Amino acid sequence: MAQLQRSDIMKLAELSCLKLSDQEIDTLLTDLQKLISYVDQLSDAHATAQAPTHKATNVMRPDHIEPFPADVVLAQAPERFEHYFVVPKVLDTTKGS
Amino acid sequence: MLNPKFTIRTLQDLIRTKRISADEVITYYHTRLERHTQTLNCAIELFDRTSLAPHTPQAGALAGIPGLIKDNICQNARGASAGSLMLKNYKATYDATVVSRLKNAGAVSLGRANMDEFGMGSSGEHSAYGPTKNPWNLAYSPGGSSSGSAAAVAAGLVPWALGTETGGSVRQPAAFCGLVGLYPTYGRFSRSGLIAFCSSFDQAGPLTKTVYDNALIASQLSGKDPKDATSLALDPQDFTAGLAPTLPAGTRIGVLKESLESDGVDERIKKSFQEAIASLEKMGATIEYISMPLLMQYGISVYFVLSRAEAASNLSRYDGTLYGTRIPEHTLKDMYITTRHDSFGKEVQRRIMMGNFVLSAGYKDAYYTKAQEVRDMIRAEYNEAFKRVDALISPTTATLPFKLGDTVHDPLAVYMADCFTVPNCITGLPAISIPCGFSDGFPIGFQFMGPAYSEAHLYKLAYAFEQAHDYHTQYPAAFMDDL
Repeated sequence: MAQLQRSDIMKLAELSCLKLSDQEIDTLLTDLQKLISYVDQLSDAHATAQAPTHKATNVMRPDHIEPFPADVVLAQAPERFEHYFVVPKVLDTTKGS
Repeated sequence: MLNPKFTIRTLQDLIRTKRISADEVITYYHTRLERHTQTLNCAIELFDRTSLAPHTPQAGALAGIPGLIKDNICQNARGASAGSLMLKNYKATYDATVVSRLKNAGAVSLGRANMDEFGMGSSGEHSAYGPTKNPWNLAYSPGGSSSGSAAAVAAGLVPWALGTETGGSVRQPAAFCGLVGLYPTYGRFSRSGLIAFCSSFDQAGPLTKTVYDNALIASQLSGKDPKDATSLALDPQDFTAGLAPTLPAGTRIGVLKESLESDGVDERIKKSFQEAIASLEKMGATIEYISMPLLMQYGISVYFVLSRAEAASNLSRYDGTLYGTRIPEHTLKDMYITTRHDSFGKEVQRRIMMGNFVLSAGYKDAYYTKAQEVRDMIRAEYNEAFKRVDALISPTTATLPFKLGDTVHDPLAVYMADCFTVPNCITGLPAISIPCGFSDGFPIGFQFMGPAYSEAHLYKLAYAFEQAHDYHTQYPAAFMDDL
């Protein structure tokens, strides 16, 4: 059974792009441990030999583009400049290399 | 002349025979919503009366019939918040296919129904816009996540509403509010324009007061949509055809045995459900008791793992870049993190964390891959059952409605309450919840579940049951003010 540590929660928060307070980490540690302990019962289920009853199939369609007015989409942008989405700089150059 | 107990069928007759105009119908329900929305907190937005598209009288099966749309379904140029601060100011740039189909049939949307954030919750309390109240008792939850859709129809504020369901989010509020709610065969209705929570389970579903009305709305929603690769290549179907007050000859119904034996099911629910079984038998059905151990043992776990995994993936798109809320920061990474932290509610964050856990290296096989395997075992168990019976029945919920404020502390207990609605969603099988009694002033619901594509048959069973009882004629007295 998976035994979660605080460090696991912090790692998951990083992967999830979430920022957690110490208290939120504690709460999530308790909650997730309880939930995971419950779903651990899945390991008791032994798949029968029969072949899967459900097969996913690929659905193909012609590869052609239906134009969508860019202005309509850009109107939803939190910040834009002409036809661009504006985001903060990716590399923080002020911290030196 | 209008009154809140009118069904869609009655309204259609009145409009067709010109005893009332579609405009009058729209104004009537708009006024009722204006009067009661604040009490129930059932809508995030009511559209301005003057903004509603001019009505064209002969335009289809639902001409002039107003309704409410859950706020995770896109309505062009209207807001679509999904109950989240993340999309507080988002405006949809197109109609969801289910919306355009209803509009093409002449239906008119009056607003955006309140809901648990991104569909994640079963009490309505996880909405960033406050909890919705149950019209049968304002201190109680109407269920969720389609909380506002159910509350509005139950109070007679609209004759229909669209909800969405991933693991019970239409049927459970239907049961808690005394309504009819459908989860269709996965792929029966297009998901184009639904804000995704768990893409391999999500489906829209109608909430109505009667079975006929529900079938009428569902008929308009059905049919292949090129915009959704998972939509089924089936022609639109008229589910109202062949509805009759008697059960089809030779009807064989399987009772989910565990639902009567489980300690977790409220005695009042069991009593009501047993009366429904007796009633179906009296109506001529052959009843068989079927044990489904895998479904009961593992249903919640499978749902839990897969839905969190898909949610974590689907919600990774919200980062403040292209649309939705942005909390400004100096670097891109900080902007992502602060935006997500400040704009997602606690339950959504918990599900993202859980989803990323079951997908993470070292755990994926034990949880995600294993859950997919067990999903297939449950599907096989259903297939076996449907060799013996036309439909399975069980209570829709294990309990009466939750008291507001009682549910937010123990997530596991809340998730367990979905034990009867989750399993068929795992396997994409259709189910209809309808009322089967009342206790302590609350409605109780039970459900018919069938094999894939069996909606038309399920509607027949549900209709016959409904017509043999008077549960669908009961309304919460507090909202019958203009009778």
